[in-house]
Amino acid sequence: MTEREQSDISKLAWQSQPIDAPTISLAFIHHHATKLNAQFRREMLVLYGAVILGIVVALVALLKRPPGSSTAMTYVTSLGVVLAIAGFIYVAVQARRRGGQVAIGPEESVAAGLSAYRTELQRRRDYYLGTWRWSIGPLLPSVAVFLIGGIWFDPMPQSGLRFGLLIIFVVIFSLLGALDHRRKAKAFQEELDAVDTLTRR
Amino acid sequence: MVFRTAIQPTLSAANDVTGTRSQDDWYAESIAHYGSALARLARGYEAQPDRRKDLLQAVHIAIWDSFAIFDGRCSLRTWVYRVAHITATKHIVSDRKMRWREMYTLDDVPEPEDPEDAVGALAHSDTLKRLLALIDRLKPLDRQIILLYLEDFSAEGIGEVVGLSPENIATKIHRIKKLLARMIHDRRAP
Repeated sequence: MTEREQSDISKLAWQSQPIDAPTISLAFIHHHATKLNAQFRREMLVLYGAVILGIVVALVALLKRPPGSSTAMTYVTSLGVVLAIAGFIYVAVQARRRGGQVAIGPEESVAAGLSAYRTELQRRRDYYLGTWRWSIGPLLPSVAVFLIGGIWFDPMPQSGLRFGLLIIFVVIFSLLGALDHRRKAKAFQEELDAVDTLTRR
Repeated sequence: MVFRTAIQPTLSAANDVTGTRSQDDWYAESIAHYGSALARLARGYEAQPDRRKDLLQAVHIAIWDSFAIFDGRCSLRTWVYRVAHITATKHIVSDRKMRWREMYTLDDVPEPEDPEDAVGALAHSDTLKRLLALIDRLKPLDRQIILLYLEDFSAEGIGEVVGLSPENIATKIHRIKKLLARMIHDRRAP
């Protein structure tokens, strides 16, 4: 038996194997296609929601000054709010730009195969590794103004306690966000390692 | 010996990218032509029936999704197989158990152990078992190449799908032929 005939036997065995494939309807495809990337879209929606909420709260704080606050504290509040709004707008712009880069189009995957998949994983990993920098960092000047200005100029009693609680809230919120994103970045790195292992010649 | 050859698309993709055909139309045509081949492809990537079903569904969804940007620059067959193989490779990568399994290239893959006794008539089912055992140990790229070879793709056709030169593919096909010949020869030996 020649090598070609032996290959042909293998091809015949392969192509005539019994198939136990389920029937997949178009309705099923339509339903599941919309679920792709749903988690990422949800995360983006939560981020946009938080940004809008932050801007609304900041605007309310700017327009509705607490009674009895000093002139100095009014300046502190105004500066803090303006910095907060600028920070929130920056975060929204960055989220839109970076989120758009992460959402890879199918044409890239199809054109470049595994290397495109690798790039997709790298982008997602880098997105999660860098999120805390562009989402929390821009808000820190505003937080600093509120904290330092509040401690120095707020004439209200127990201001130390209020600002202490604010500090704890900011620290916990930032840490939780950073840890969650580090975990996600690590998962993408593990997938990248797997791609490297599986494709190494 | 005559084999079923993969059916080439009957419609010219270039004539249909003007928007007259929907994703649903392209998908329906793809599945009509390559549905069985996709099921076999899923078998080449996943041994466990439940997970194979999930993989096949993921492949179908990816193919439907990809037709949103199909522009006819390659044949329908090439497009469908590219999407399918990439989806299946992602399946391997995302499976933690498979990640830690040792996988080989065509050059260093060991001969698969005979799943049954070494003596007996050569049957398709035996050949298939040995084939699956061989495919199951291959790294993604070589797995893509052998699966396309078994589907009767030419070296040029395989090159279009996986993005390697025909010369490179020809070398790998040569190696595949040797492996298959050895596999069948060993099976037939008393």
